[in-house]
Amino acid sequence: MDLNGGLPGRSTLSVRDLRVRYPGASVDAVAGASLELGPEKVVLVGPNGSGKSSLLRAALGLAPVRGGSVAVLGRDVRTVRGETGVGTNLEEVYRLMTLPVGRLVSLWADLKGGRPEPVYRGIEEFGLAEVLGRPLFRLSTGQAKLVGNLLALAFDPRLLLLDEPFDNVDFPRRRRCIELLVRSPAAILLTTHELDLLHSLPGWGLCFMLDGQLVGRFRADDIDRLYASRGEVPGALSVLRTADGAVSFTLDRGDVPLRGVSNLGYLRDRVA
Amino acid sequence: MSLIAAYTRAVLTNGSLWFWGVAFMALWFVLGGYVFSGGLAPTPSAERLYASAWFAVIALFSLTTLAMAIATSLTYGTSALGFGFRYTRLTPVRYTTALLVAAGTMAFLLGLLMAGLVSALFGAHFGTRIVPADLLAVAGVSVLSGAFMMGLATVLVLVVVNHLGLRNLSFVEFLPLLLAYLFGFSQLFLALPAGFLYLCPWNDMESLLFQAYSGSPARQVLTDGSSAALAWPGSVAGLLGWVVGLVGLAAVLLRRIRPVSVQEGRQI
Repeated sequence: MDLNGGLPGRSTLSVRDLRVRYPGASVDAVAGASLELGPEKVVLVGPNGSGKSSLLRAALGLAPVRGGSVAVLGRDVRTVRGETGVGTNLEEVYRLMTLPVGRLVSLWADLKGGRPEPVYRGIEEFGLAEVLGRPLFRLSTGQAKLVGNLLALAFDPRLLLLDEPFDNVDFPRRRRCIELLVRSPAAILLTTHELDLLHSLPGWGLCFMLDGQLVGRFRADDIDRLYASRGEVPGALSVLRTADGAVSFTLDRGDVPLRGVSNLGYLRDRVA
Repeated sequence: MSLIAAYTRAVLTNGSLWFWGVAFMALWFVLGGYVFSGGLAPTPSAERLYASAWFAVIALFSLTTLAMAIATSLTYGTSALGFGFRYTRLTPVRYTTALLVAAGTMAFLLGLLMAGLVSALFGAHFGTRIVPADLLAVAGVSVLSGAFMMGLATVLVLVVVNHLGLRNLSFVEFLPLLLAYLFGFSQLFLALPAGFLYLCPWNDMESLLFQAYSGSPARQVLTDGSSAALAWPGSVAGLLGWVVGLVGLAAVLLRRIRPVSVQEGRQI
């Protein structure tokens, strides 16, 4: 079953009716999201707190899954072991112990069965050589994000799960990061809250996430043609049902154009 | 860099461990050698047994700081382990082995340093030579104790992380030290049943450390030479049983590790 109009081919990530709820929370962070990812690149856009990172964390086995299922590279995330083809930039997965970045890269190469030299070269290329002697928690937010991105991209991943990879990253390095991601042969699910970013990702698939629910699939190329409307519009590409009511996404017509909207949360407020 | 090398280096360069495990324990030895030794009979045998008892108790505390350091590190690493077991070649057995080597190496150093401090401080104060009777045994018991501390810390943290929630974490991190104080001091002055002393790992470590340093069998009451002697094979068997049980349990619990945020822990 193709849940989101994904490309046919071998599944890299299969999320079905996923529910994530953290201890003590009264609502689900992810409330019944489904996504099918093949060997392709998809960007997942949503405002802060919409559940994007929780979805990624569930796929990495790091979030408390209360329902539904997640399969990564064809294997159930609950039972997958020793699958080295998945990379992520989430900083928490690199905190096995306190190590300077240089030794962290070396250790990670050992754990992934790869070579550290390409990561060292990437770090130098990004002008980050000075971070090699410092642990991740001593880096600036942008530096830590870049190191996480480089570790994710290293060691020949087949699936990259990237959480806000450009947060606090300056423009030239952001552009270089995008080049690396576009060139990477890996399937990618990338989360961001920046709609502006979509213009830099032509050919990528596009999904939106609001209030823990996922809607799509669209094309990032179509961002200037997409509209959002209140209620269920006949012929809509997708309909998102939130606690505030339904929001329909349509092409070339509708209440609010996504063109020029920088934040999806703001868009929802306007539609509501 | 291999995981074993990385962990060993990280443990050996842990400043907190060196402060609480060595510098703070040196303060206890100064107190034991120079302040509390006033009423001691000035005979070489009494001085040796006195120094050995101090060595056994304080080395036990020193080794216990290892459990606290490992527990804290593990708490911060649950997400890394959860990811690592799924998406790298890391396995619970490989992780446990690395921790065992790191803990054993640090414990080896702690044991020898404690013995060196006792020899230097007590020897200088009493004006006599008080060296360990069996340095190899001191090293061996220390390494075995390090393995116990690693197993204990890992099991305690994983039980909390997997089943109880991080609110209990600060208590669990201190539990090894609380038990070390309770059982360590108890054997100094109380006549605990011999069966209990063999079954209790803290008393096993204390008895073995005492015998390794003094060259005499540990007693049911460590400071009472007339109380019943303990057989060291019984203490070794008791401690080995705990090490095997805890390390095995740790490897099993690691397979089901639940990644948690340290921010779930209790804050003032």
